[in-house]
Amino acid sequence: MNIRKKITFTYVSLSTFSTLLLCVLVFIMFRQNNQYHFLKRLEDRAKIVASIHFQNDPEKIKYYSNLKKNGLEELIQEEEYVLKVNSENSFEYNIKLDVPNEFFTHILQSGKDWYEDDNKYYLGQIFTENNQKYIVIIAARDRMGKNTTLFIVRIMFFAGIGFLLLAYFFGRILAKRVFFPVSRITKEVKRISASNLHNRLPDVKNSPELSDLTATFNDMLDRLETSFEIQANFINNASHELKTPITTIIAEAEIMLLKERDAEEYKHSLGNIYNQASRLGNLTESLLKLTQTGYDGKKQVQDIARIDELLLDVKSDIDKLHPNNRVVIKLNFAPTDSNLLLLPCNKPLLELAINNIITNGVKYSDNNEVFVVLTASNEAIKIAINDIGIGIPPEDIPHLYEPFFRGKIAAKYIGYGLGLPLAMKIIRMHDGELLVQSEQDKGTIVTIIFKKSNIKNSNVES
Amino acid sequence: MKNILIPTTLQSDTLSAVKSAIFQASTKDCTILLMMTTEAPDTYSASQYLREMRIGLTPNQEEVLETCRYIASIHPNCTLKIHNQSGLSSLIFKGIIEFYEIKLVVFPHSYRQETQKIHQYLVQLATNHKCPILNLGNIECEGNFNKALYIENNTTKTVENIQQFLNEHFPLEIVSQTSNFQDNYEDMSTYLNEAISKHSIDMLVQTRKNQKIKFNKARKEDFNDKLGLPVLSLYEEAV
Repeated sequence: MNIRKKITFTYVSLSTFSTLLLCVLVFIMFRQNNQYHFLKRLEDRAKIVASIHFQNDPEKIKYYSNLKKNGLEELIQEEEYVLKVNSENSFEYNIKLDVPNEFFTHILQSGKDWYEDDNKYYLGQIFTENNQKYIVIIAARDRMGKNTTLFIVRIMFFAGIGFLLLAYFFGRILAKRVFFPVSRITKEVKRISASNLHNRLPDVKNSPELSDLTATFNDMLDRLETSFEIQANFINNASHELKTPITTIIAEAEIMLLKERDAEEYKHSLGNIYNQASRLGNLTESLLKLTQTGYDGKKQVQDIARIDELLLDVKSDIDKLHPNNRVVIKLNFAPTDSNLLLLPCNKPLLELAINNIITNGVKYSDNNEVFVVLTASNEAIKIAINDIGIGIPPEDIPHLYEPFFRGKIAAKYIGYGLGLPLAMKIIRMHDGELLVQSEQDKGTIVTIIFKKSNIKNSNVES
Repeated sequence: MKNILIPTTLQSDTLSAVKSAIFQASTKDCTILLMMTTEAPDTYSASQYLREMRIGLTPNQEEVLETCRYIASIHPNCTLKIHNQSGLSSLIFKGIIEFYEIKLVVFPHSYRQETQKIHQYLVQLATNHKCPILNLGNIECEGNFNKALYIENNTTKTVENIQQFLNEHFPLEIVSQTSNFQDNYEDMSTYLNEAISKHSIDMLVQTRKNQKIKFNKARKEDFNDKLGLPVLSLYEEAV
C-alpha cells in the first residue's frame, strides 16, 4: 500500500471512529433524556391516579377515564394499580401485574422505583392517606420515545454512510495535498541526471520538513556534482594548476644555466626551485586526494588557517610569477581579533582557488590594479577581489562555472576556462559562496563569503 | 601566578610532566604541586591511622623526586611542592584545587594507567572539574608544545572559541582540526598521521563534558594511546 492510500485509509478510519463515538454518545444521551421525560409523565399520572383514588368520587373517576380515553391517548397500554400496603413488607397483590418481586421490595424500601420491560415502563410510588400507605403503579409503553429513537438511529446510519464517503474524498484530497510537494520533488529529482547535475530543487515554502528534505537533496547534489566534475576534470585541473609552478621552475633553471654563477646564487636558485617543487607536490597531492575522496570534508583532517596569512601567501606566490603585478591586499578593514580570521579549510586548495581568482583579475585587466579587501565579523569572513578589467558580459555570467567555457571578449587572452570553475568548487566545498558582479569594460568584483553559521552547522551535523 | 597540579606515583615520566608544567608556566611565577595519593587506611583510632598511613618511597621514586626538585630549582620562577593525600573525595579534590589556586592539571602517562581505585577516582574527579587537563602521551617530551590539532566533538564550540580560550591560557596555536575519530580511527589514521607530520603537530586539543564516575575494569583507549601525543582537555562549559 502506498503512503497516499495509507493516509486516506487512516483518515477515513480515524474519522469513522470518532463519528461512531459521537453517535453512540448522542444515542445514549437521547435515550436517557427520553426516559427521564417519560418517567416524569408517569409520575404526574401516578399523582392524579392517587388523588382520584383517595377522593373516591365516582363522578371524578368517570370523568378521568373519559379524559384518558379522549384527550390523553398518548400513553399506550396504560395500566394503573393502587395497592394497599398492609404492613412493613406485605401488600395486596394484583395478579394482573407481571413484575418481579424486587421491584416491590425496592418501592417499599425507598418509596419510589421504576422498571422497564420490553419498552414498557412501570413506575411505582407510595402515597399515604389517613395513615394508610398505598402503592400506586402506573405502566405504559413509550411509543414516542421508541419512534424517535428509531428515527435518530436511522438518521445516524445514513448520515454515517454519507460521512464515510465524504471522509474518503477528503482523505484523498488531504493525501494529495500533503504529497503534492513530495511528488513534485520526486519529479524534479527524476529530471536530474549526470548530464545536468548543476540543476537544483526549488525551495519549498511553509513546510520546514520538506524544505529540509530539499536542502538535503541539494547538499547531496552539491557534493555529487563537485566530486563528479572534479573526477571528470582531474587531468584538466591538474594540468592547469601545475602549469604555473612548472613555468617558474623552468624559468628559474633557465636563467641559472645562462652562465657560470657562484655557489650562493645557485643555492638561492635551488631554494626557489625546491619551494616551487614542494608546492607542486602539495598541489598534486591535494588534487589527487580531492579526486579520490570527492572531498568528504568530515572525513578529512582540516587545516586551521588564518585567512589574512593565506592571502599574503597568495600574494607572494603571484609576485613570483608576475613581478610587476599591482595586487593590493587591504587588511585594514580586518578585525584586530585574529580569532575571527580562523577558518577550517584545506589550505593548499583554498590558496589555489584564491590564487586563480586574483590571477584572473590581473590577467583580464592587463595588469591593472587589483584590490583584495578582507573583512570579517562574527557572522562571516568576506574577501572581495576588485579589478578594473574587461569585465564579463551579462550573457556569459551563467556559464562562468562550466569547465572550458571562454567568454567572447576574453578570447584574446591565453587561458583554458578551468581556473574559475575549480575555484568555485573548492569554495563550495568549504561551505563558501562565490558572487560575481561585473560590468563590461568597467571591471569585476568577485566576493567570497564564508559564513560562520555554516561552519558551525556543519560541525553540529558531524 | 599559574599553579599546576601533577598527580603522580613518581614513575620516571613524572619528569616530563614537570618539564611541561615548567614550559606552561613560561616566565610567570608558578607553584608545581606534586600530589601523591594513597587510600585512607581503615582504622579505629587516630593514632592507628597515623601509624598505618604509608608515605614511604622506594629508591627509584626517591630518585625521581630528587630529579624533579633539581629541575624545578633551575627555574627560579617555579617552586615545587609535595602534597601527600590520604583518601579522596570530590569535595577534598575541589578544596585542593581552590586552596592552591590550580589552573592546570597535568597527568603523566603512567598515572592514567594506574589500576588502583584511588588513582582512577582522581582522574575522573579531575575530568569532572572545570580545570583544564593536560594528559601526557607515552612518548618522552620536553614539554614545549606549540601546534595543536583540535578534535571536535559534537559541540557548538568552534575553533574560534577554543583558540580564544587558548590565547588567554596556553601558548598554543590550533593548526588543524578534525572530527572525533574515536569510532573510525582505522579510516582516519593515515590522514591524521599525515596532518601531524605535515604541520609538526605536538598536541591534541579536545573538549570534555561532565561524566558519571564509574570504575571500569577495561580501560577505553583514548587519543593518547592512539597517537602518542599529549592531549589538552578543556572543560566544555569553561571555554
